[in-house]
Amino acid sequence: MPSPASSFFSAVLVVDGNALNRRMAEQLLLQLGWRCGLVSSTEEALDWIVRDKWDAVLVELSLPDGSGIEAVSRLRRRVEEAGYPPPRLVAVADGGSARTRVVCRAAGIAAFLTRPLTLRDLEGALSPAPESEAERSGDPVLIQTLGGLRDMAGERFVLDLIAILAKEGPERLAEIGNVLATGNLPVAGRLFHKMKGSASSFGATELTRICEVGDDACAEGDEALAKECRRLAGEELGRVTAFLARWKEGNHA
Amino acid sequence: MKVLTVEDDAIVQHVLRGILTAAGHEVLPAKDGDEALRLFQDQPVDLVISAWQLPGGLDGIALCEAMRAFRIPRYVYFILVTADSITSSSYGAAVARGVDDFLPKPLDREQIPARLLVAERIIRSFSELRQVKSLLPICMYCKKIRNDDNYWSQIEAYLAEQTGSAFSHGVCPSCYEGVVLPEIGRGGASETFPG
Repeated sequence: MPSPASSFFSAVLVVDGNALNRRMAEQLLLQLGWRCGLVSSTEEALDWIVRDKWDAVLVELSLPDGSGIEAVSRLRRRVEEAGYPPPRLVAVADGGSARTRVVCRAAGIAAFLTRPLTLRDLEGALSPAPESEAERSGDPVLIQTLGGLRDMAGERFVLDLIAILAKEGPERLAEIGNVLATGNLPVAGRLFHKMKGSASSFGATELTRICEVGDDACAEGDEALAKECRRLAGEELGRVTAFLARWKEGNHA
Repeated sequence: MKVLTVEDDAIVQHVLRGILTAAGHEVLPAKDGDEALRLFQDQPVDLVISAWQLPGGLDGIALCEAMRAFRIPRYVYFILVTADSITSSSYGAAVARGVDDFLPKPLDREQIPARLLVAERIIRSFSELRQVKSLLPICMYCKKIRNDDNYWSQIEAYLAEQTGSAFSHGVCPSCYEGVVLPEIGRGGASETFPG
């Protein structure tokens, strides 16, 4: 049964080199009540993207004629040139390293899905709301970690942890930004590494992932990616802090 | 146990404190290696949990070496917190320099208390062994040893009970000369069987 939210999406363009994967995506989208177009390559997608106004594009990361990330930036340019509203971009892959996920996020891809696709994942990823249900309800690992820490050490302990994070997080990010501005990648890498350790200790998986990629980017001398990770870490920290504030209210209520 | 946690990250330090306190341990936090060494000298610490990378001159392994160099009369168990990128040769090098165990990040709140139970067991065994090796009341004539229950037992019985050692009885050269040979001489005369 399509949910009320799905009525926002009238059209989804599926870009996937595998015929079976295209059909499976189509079946799920039809079940959600969405119309879809199926194409197998970047070139075909570039043609289709301006034939219709697509609300979302579901793109496979390994396309026969290049990477999905490259396809996304070309599709976005084509849509801009045509004067169409930008579609919501969703990446699909069989797996995906931390780096792939972070690079997707940096490329403006709104959601990352791994196969097998499920109705619930698809619906969440294609949702046009600025903050999806998944984002509002928070990272399941974060929720589980906070709950576990509260059960083990008490609520006061978790509230103190939230207060420390609210103070330390922005300071760390500012420090990483300052060091990156001087081009000192080894030190920036160590700072990313430290931040990864703190993020993982309270279950913030996405922030952990971004810091891990930032650390690797510094080690490889990829300054542009390191700066992108710094920006994304700021974005993610904001999201985590907002979630923690809601968690705190919910626990006091 | 009194646990010295060495970590410059306030968030990780806080999480460690929560886990350890909930498991019934007393936590002594230090931000770097120098502060850790100062606390270590001032207070009887049972166990140290330290980050590998630390600000200042001492990293986790150098801190472990510095603590081992004190040669204090009890065993201090040292756990190093590691990142997932550590190679097996680094683990080997850390153990060779005195590290007892490793805790991977992210910190696992279930695993840490279990690791500390193992540490506690090892520390207890060490201290029991040390008691055995320390000053024992021994009879100056018959060489029996007095145990905790004020009971005098033969030295081999005492050691077997305390350490689980088994004894194979032999004769040293001086006892052979002084005791065994005269015994044989004496016995030789009586070794005549009735005809």
